[in-house]
Amino acid sequence: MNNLKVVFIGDSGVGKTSLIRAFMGYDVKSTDTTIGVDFYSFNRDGYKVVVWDFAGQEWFRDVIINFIKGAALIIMVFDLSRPFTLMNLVKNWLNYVVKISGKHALVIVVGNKSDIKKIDDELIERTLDEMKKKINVKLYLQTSALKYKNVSRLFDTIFEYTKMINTILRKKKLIEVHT
Amino acid sequence: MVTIKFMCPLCKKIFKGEVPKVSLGEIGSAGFVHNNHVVIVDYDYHGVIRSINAINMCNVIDGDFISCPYCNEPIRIPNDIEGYTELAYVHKDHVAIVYLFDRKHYAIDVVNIVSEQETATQKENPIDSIINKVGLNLASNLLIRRIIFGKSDIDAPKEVLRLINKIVKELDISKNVDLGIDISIAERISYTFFEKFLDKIRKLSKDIALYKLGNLVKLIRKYILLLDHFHREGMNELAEEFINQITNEDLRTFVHQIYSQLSAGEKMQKETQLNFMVNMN
Repeated sequence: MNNLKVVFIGDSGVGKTSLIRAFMGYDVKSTDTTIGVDFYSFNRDGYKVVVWDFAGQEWFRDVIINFIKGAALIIMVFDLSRPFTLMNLVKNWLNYVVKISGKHALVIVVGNKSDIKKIDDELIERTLDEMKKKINVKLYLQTSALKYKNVSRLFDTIFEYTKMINTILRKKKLIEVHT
Repeated sequence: MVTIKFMCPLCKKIFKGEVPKVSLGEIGSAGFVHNNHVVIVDYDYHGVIRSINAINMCNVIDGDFISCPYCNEPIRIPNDIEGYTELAYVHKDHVAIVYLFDRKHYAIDVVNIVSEQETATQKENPIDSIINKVGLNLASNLLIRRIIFGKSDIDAPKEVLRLINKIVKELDISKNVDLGIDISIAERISYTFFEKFLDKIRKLSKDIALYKLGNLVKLIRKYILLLDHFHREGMNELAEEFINQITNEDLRTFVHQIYSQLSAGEKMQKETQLNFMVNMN
């Protein structure tokens, strides 16, 4: 069984852990700050999806950022109520993705806390256009972990992509075996 | 109100201030005005700092006008924004921060200003005192046992024990309970990483040294817990991958040695007490 690695990155307090916890049916209000990195695994259709939840705090980020290496899917999360978290996706996190995972890693950008949104869509669109020039952004979603808005959609998309990647990897392996 | 303590990224000094408590799940922001910059601190319900950003104050007199969304006072965006990504405008009791995505695209946030006090930095650094008393090697051994493994029954001179307990208290690692690691592991691992780290922070001010030590302790304890989980679940490949991706070579060796000892048979307890957030579906 293949293990597919999915990573959640973004500034501290944007709601990465809350999104995962909301999907798992836990109370998101009591989510504490992540120390270093947390780890979750989900079994879907005979394959395992391993989700790495990264601490957003700067001190931890610099120490653990290398762990995004080998990720099949990268979820970049920002907070729709704090503009600098969107800016930091471009200023900091984007550069790490390019440097460690390359241009072709599949990326989903998530604007969380849509229930208290402050950033206007034009700015988000413009930022996404900038990001698309450098990384492979497949989808942008607005979510609210607190109100459980689009959380299932996010994880359904994650499982769809990982399933697709799993199929490609298996075919590739079969071809290698036969040649 | 809740007290937050932070290090200004520009002044490199530790400050503390009283900020309004936010609800569970919310993130609050507070602005601290320094000489030529403003420090924006984001914190959570527990008063845990989520982010710290120092932003230069803007005093330009030319450029386009926009209004502060809180007090309507005019804000000028400089004509030449080269080199700026964000600018702070101090208005009486609040600060308006303009995030410049480019010349035409920006977002404005408003944060209340909070008064602060600089914490005294002349205090004795207990890490340096311990090293002076027992040497770097034994200091590393004792601190690894007490603050990383969480052993409370360590054997050390009375004065050294007093200093170590002082560190534990000040680090405020609320979940610093015994990891259940066989203490003999401490005799079989290399302290190079920890020795280098302690040597680096021993001459820093007490607050900064303990801030750095606290972060490192939290991180190493988390690594150990993750690796123990991988080990118990038979996820050895994942554990190896995890260890290999630790960039600092000495830290990697340190963590790997502990993992090897775990794999050799030692088991850890008290995971539930630690409220360790690994969930298997």
